[in-house]
Amino acid sequence: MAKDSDLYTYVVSVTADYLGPAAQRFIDRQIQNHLDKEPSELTIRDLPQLVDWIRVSVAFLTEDRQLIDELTQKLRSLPRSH
Amino acid sequence: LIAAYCVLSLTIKPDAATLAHYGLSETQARVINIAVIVPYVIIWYVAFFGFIRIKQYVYLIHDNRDGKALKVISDGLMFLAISLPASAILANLKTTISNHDGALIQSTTILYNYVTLAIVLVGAWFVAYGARRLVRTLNQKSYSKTQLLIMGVFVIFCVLYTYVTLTDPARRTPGELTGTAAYYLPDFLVFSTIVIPYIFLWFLGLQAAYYLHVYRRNVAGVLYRNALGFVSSGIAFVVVSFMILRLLVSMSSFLSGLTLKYLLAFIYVLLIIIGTGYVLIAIGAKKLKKIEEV
Repeated sequence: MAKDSDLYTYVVSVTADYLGPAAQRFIDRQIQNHLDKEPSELTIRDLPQLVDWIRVSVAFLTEDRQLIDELTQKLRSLPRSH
Repeated sequence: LIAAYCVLSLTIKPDAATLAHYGLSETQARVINIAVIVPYVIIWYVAFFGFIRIKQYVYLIHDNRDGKALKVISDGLMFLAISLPASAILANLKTTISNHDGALIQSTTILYNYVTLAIVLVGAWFVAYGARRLVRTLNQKSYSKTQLLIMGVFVIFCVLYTYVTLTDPARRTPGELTGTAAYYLPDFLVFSTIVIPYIFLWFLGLQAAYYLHVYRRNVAGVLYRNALGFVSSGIAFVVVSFMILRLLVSMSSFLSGLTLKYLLAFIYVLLIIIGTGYVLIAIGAKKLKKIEEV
């Protein structure tokens, strides 16, 4: 199992493939606004809920369902890849 | 600004020689004037809308490295947007003043040329400096074959601009149709204080467009890259339109020999290019801002 700080870094790095330099800011907002915690407090148990919120938020930015599914899939597979 | 420009444009009496040349009545000249003023004012609005949009986006990310670089670019775009109404209003003021006192035409023309150059030069410098800072956030090597190609085209354009400016019969003394000279300065001053600064300005502008292209090509993020593409293409359009605009000013003698139909076509094409640039900037800024809001 990865350390929680690694989890945050991984979530940001996967999202960066889609949102570039805006990825960290985007993830921080999702954690702070929807999970009501600081990014440093992110744990593996928060991941399913975080991924759901990321999916909803990215759907506001693009209508490309394939891209949204791809990002969601990558994020959901993070714990197993560690 | 819009009200000042419209009042000045519609109260200036059309030049009698110009009316005779194109076979127009005063009323027809005013109708044509309105046909140019309306799209011009729309483009100012679009330009201000574009730079306000990008300012709003920059405000959201001003603490980040890319935010600091984009803030400098947005300051530059603000100067370029202001230069549009500023140059038009100053041109009308110049005509109004010289209509009242013909002796002032030389000094007002010289002042007009330098003030408009200064505003655009400051804008281009900010945009180029910001774009360079943006590329540095990637630690990216910024030279390529594309840059060499752009430089080649740029050199050809500069030679053409210098030739057209320094062979314009109306550069120092009033032309037959224009009624005024373009610069009222000796050639060495036109070359050293008008031509060279404009060439430097275009160099900055093209450099900015190129750096933004490099940044967009190399930055991570499919959605971010797509949004930034609109901004970088818009800036490239704005830079190219300013280059064409300056070339056309230098070709005033040639243009005054054209029929009214072609002259209006020239003006409309230029207005469309300027407008397209700022519309692209506004669309891109809106998309970037949305990324920071969800």
